[in-house]
Amino acid sequence: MGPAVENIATLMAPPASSMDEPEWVAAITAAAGTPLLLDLHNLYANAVNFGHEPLAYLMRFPLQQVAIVHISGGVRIDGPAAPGEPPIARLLDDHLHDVPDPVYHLLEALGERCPRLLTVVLERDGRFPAMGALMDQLRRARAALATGRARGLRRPQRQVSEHALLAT
Amino acid sequence: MHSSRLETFLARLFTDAEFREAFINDARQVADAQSLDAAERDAVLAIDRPGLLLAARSFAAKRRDTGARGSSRRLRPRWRQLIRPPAGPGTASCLLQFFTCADQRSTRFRDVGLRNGDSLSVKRLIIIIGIWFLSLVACRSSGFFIRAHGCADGAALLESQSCCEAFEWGLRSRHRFVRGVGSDLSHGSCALGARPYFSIR
Repeated sequence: MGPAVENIATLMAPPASSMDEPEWVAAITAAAGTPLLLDLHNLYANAVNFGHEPLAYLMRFPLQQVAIVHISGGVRIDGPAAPGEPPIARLLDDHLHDVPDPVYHLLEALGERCPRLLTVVLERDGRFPAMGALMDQLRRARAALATGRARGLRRPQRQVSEHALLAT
Repeated sequence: MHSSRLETFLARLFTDAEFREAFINDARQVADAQSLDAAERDAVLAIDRPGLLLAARSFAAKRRDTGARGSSRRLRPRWRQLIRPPAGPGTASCLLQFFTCADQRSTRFRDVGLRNGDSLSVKRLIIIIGIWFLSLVACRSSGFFIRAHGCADGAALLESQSCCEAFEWGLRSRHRFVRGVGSDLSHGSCALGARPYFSIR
């Protein structure tokens, strides 16, 4: 596999944009002819931070191009507050916290719809928990992916099943 | 819509605290002074200001973190400098890092990628092979690797691909190792493959 394009997390809406993120990612991957490394926590953070429903947001990405998936955790941070109003909170993708439940749900949905074999990478850069906790997150990721794949197998348009490839 | 003027303006906004403060206090005046066209000017005036401040804070923290990591490398213990070739000589060095740093085996994962043009002295090579062999025996007898990979049911904790090659070689000879997809995995991750990257039979 050659290089892949990864979606990023941002704390601010990119100024002067003429496309939104899914449109831009689709255009970049199509133009470059590269697979997409889909970071589900980045996607989730951007959806939360800018008022999108995460699952609907995921569906707008070019899921047929996804070959690798990153999952990770983050933390809510407070921004500046206008006088008399609560501070604006944003979700920061910091790789220092456990993977939140919605990311597993997104992985499940991705497994249902993505036709390619997926490699899922759990990213963790610090505040490491016990090994067992990391393994639990991997197990949850595998379970979510398996659930999504099983659901996808029931979809009539699915032609290549991961399980069939696994058996070869 | 983008131009070098706009990109320069945004880069300065992200990294220059004084400039950013001036923009927050009087965005119109600062934008007017930047030779932006009308569309660019409107875009920067409509900028997501809470997001800008949070992003700038995050970037600053990352720069500080990068600086701190750089200084800690300079304080590396003398004994480790002696046995670790300074230029990072490839697989052998990866193995050395992998097997001599106990924290990496359990909780820390570090990029130990190869560098071209590095060389090893014979003395260092002997020390490295010796430490690697003793570490491998110790880890094998404790069952650490087997248990870690087995618990993940095919998932793998990887230091680097080159580190794993030796481990794979050792276990493949015992017909206990299967290599799957995931050659793109190169550093710092807990890896989980739809087909496992490595698994133990």
